[in-house]
Amino acid sequence: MFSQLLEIFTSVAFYAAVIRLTAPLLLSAMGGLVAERSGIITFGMEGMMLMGAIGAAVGSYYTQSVLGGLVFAMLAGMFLAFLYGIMCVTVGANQVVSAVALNLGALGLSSTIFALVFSNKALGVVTEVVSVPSMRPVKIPLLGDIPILGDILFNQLPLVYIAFLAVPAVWFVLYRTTIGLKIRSVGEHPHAADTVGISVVRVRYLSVLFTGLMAGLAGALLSIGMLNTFQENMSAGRGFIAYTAIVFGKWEPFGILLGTLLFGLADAIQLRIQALNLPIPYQFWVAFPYIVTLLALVLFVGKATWPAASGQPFKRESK
Amino acid sequence: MESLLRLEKICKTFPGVVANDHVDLEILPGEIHALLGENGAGKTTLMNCVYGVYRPDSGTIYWKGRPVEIHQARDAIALGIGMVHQHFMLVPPLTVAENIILGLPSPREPLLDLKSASRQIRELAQSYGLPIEPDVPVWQLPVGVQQRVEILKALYRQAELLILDEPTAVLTPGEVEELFKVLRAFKEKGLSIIFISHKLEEVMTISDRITVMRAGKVVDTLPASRTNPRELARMMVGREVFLHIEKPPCTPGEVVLELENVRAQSDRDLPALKGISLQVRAGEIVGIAGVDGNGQTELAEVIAGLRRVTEGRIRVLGKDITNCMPKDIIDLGVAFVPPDRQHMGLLLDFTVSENLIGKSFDRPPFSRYGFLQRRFIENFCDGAIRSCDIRTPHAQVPVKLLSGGNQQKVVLARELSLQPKLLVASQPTRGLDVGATEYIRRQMVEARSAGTAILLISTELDEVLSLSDRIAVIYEGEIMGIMSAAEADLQEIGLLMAGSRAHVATGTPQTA
Amino acid sequence: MLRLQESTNRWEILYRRFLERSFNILIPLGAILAAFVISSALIVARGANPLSAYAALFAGAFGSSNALANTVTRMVPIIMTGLAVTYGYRSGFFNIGAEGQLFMGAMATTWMGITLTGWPAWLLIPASLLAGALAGSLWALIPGYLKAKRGFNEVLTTLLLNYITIQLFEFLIRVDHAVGLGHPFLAWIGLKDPTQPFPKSAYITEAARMPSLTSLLTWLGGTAEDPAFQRFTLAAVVAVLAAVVIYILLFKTTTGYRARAVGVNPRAAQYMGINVVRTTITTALISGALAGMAGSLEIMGFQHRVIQNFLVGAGYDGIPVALIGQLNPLGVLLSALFFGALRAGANRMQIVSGAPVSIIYVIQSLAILFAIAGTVIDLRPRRLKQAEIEEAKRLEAELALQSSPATGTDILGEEARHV
Repeated sequence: MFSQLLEIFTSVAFYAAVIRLTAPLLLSAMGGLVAERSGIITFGMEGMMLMGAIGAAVGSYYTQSVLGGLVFAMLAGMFLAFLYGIMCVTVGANQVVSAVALNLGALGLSSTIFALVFSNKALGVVTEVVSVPSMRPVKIPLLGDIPILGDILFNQLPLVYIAFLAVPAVWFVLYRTTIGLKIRSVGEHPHAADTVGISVVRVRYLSVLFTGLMAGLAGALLSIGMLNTFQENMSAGRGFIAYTAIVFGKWEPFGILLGTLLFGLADAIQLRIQALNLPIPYQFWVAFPYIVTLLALVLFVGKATWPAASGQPFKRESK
Repeated sequence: MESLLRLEKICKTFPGVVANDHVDLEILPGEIHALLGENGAGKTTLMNCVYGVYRPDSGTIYWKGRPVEIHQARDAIALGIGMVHQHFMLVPPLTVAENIILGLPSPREPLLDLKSASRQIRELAQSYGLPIEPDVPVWQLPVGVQQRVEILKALYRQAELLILDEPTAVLTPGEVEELFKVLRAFKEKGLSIIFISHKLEEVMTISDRITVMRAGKVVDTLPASRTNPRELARMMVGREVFLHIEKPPCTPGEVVLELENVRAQSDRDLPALKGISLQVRAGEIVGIAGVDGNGQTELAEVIAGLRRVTEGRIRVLGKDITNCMPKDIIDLGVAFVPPDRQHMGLLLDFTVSENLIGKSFDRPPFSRYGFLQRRFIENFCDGAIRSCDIRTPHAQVPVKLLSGGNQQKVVLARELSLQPKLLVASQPTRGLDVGATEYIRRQMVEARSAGTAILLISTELDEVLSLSDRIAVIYEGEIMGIMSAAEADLQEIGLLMAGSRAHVATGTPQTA
Repeated sequence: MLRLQESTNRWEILYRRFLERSFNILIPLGAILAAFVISSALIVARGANPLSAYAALFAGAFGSSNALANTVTRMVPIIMTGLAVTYGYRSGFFNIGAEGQLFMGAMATTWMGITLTGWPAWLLIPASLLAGALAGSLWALIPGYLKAKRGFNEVLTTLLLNYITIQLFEFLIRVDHAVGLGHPFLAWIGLKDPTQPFPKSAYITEAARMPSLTSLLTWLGGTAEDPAFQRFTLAAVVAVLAAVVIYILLFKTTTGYRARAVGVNPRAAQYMGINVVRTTITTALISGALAGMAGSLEIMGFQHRVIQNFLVGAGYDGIPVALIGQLNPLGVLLSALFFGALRAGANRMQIVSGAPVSIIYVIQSLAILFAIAGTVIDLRPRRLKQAEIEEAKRLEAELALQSSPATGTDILGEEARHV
């Protein structure tokens, strides 16, 4: 048993899998972070991811190109994000509630579209697995040739690179640019931002749309990245995990990277350990990241780190 | 001289309230213009119209003689108008520099340029005599310095007109002097200043001209040199003199509330109460005077059991209530009118009747075996609404639909219905109109005559002076001195409020 | 004259209150209607006729005793989770964790039914139900405690617990069930039927199952021909009763007053002497018990055993059910009817018209969105809003008019007394 474990933990493929499984969470969480910092709770990433997954499959199917799939994925994610924006920003409804509703809608819409596009017209059900053009790993010249590290890090799908590059990029935007300053101020004290002429509504809409874009790409990574087709409810809670990772990372890009890596690691362990006959049931490994997150929240995360205006609708004339 | 800003027939209504009714106002270049009026007279609303926070329903704004449309704050800033709100519009986790440049284009767009911004801010601060450290997060700064940041924020945007909304409410008399010096310097440099206040003395001291507002209308505009506090007071309230509440002589009974060297922390976990000792007897009103934010909130909260006492004892009628549950303290006969009726005193989404039974819903006859008894509740509420003159169509209206004065009457009716031994009233008349204010004050005097011990905490010195039998002054969590109201000397109270104990022989020397 | 005015006032108030109330029902109804209309675009895209699709949906939900039994069966768990969410939400505890609590309840009830096989029905049925409620409560106690004592956001903790619970369930239905001395603890809590290779439990004993309409008719001496009658069980009655009980608890008792006060404003509630910590924990326990009973009723009334994926999503469905029900326990009954009917009729719709089953999720989603938007945005007729504004204006004017002269005379009176 020990030798089997050792084999897993020393294999290059295992670590490559960790990186690969982390990527969709990371993409989504980096998008979500921006909206979170502007005061929007990104509980709706689950649905956006699902829309991205179906968008990628459909786009890739019709245009017969991966790029087309990606464009569709981003648009589909942003479509749901736009609806979410209407509910959170314009209507001012409870954000978690709206997100729950939209996630349900995305589940229905993605499955319906899948059935409409790919199903057997007579039966109304998808009778055969349709495969669409999908992404291929790109080996980065030079870096990809480094022994071990090259295979783990630099022989991945293009979106995986984007996911990891997004971490410093989002950090830079948040802390080193004027738009980042606007986003942070809107999330902390929207009225103050409003009095210096920042449009809270615009900042929040754009932030949510960015979340939709990133979550859409994350969905694409699931459907035309790791597979070459769509499956009903294929996001399987990853949007919620991304949200959890944001809380775990205390709303800081590099903390979130750590959080998503933890989930990726647990996911990879779980996939491999299932095959082994270990005294610890594999269900424990599936639950492991959630248990770790819960414990981490209870033991380490204070409550002071939330953006102050998180979840609160902004109304100008509220006196 | 051509005016800098001129308002013509500005009207603004909110549902049920006419906040501004055909207001005319003219501001000249380089003048300090005071906008004087009671709470709710419409001063802040008017200025919010100028600053683009609200849109006036009708009327015209002229800037340097030209009519302008101000749709949002951005437009006002572009014109050269800056406003320091009563509640500061600063983002606490951001640094001073970040707060000041917030919303402005950067010279290295889209990148921030904090370094050069810091340098500019330092220079600007120096030139106006407002020393500041640009790289400190704002939440770490004391209130007076935060105000400085707000002023610099306006100056950094090259404001020609600076609107200050009740700027002295959070300052000690010493800081007020400091602020006035700065404002005079601004005037020297040609800036115009609108100074919103309801304090007559201040307005007389600092302003060139004074516009008095009452009930949404301008009463008059006149130079400070040609008026006096008495005339201003008459214009402000529309009556000849301030009311003086008549009270029967004080006959203090047994000690009801006793605080012994009480210490407590603030929300930010800084020491807020530093060893308070105080007694309140049955049938007397003890007033706590002091500038906002010197431990008043915490003092009321420790008595009500809403904040942990870290050291010392609190006794009510001889019984130790230190760190007891609020429920036990209420059951002992302690009533509390909290400073913030919207967020604490009332459940805004609940009906008037549900609020009236808020502290007695679980007592007979209002509930039996855990079930609410509707008939008793309705009878009680109808009676309370009638006897306390709460203006509401019926008891089932959500309390948030009532006006501030009626809401406060609901709070007071509930508290007094408990027939308390002790009433802690914190800012009981804040934001109320004259009628409601008088009603609330009279009710308190009546309760005192009935033998209730009352601890009145108010930042309105007038209120403390006119209601109290004894006055204690609080400064940075310490009682600076206690005196009987009859012997109270205004100047001495002022000094104590500013933390100077020079004139009080009994005081212990201050450390730190 | 004053009397006349008073009485017209009262009629006006009653009329206005009636309008307000009816609007509470009109909003969700309008939202549901709008959801159906918009979703028909998807059916048209499929090349089917929306009307015939919806007709099939309706027939599949209500068209026969069998269809009706389907609808009722679907309703029972979502009534319970809807109540769990309603009670929690009203009381400031947004219970996303009904899903996990439901699984805990189902497991506890199943364990009772496959272990205490010797117990008589009159004892085993309430005991099983209680076990489910307790399991759900205890599971909700974790987020409840964390929120009350440590200030943790319950949305996140309950969500995390859902995932953990499902894995616990997946694990336990793979551990052979065995009772008695000498067996290890794991076998004792395991649920799997040792005689079967598949991950599922044995059927619960006959005495643990909810009596059905068939057994009632037989008991009365009649006979029930329709096999569908077996699926109308006491579970549905329990669910409806639970809604009534929760309604009374929430609006007519001191417990409900405390809970709602904390839900509206915990700071004010604390100030009023309400123990916020205790109330929040009580709320979590009640909400968890309801969700746990959702699992119990499903097992005792319908499925009679646990199996992989036996009722995925019913816990999450509680959220939309509660919201369409306007967070009112009695409204939950109506909205559960809507949701139950959609789920029950969806298959027939797909077979008849080819419109995919998944469309019903879109319908539900849109209905919720419209319903919340309708509640947040003031959609009430202008007349109602106008009346409110007029009322406020009138009161304000009255106050302004009365305050100065009234106080004037009072002062005079006081002065006279003291001079």
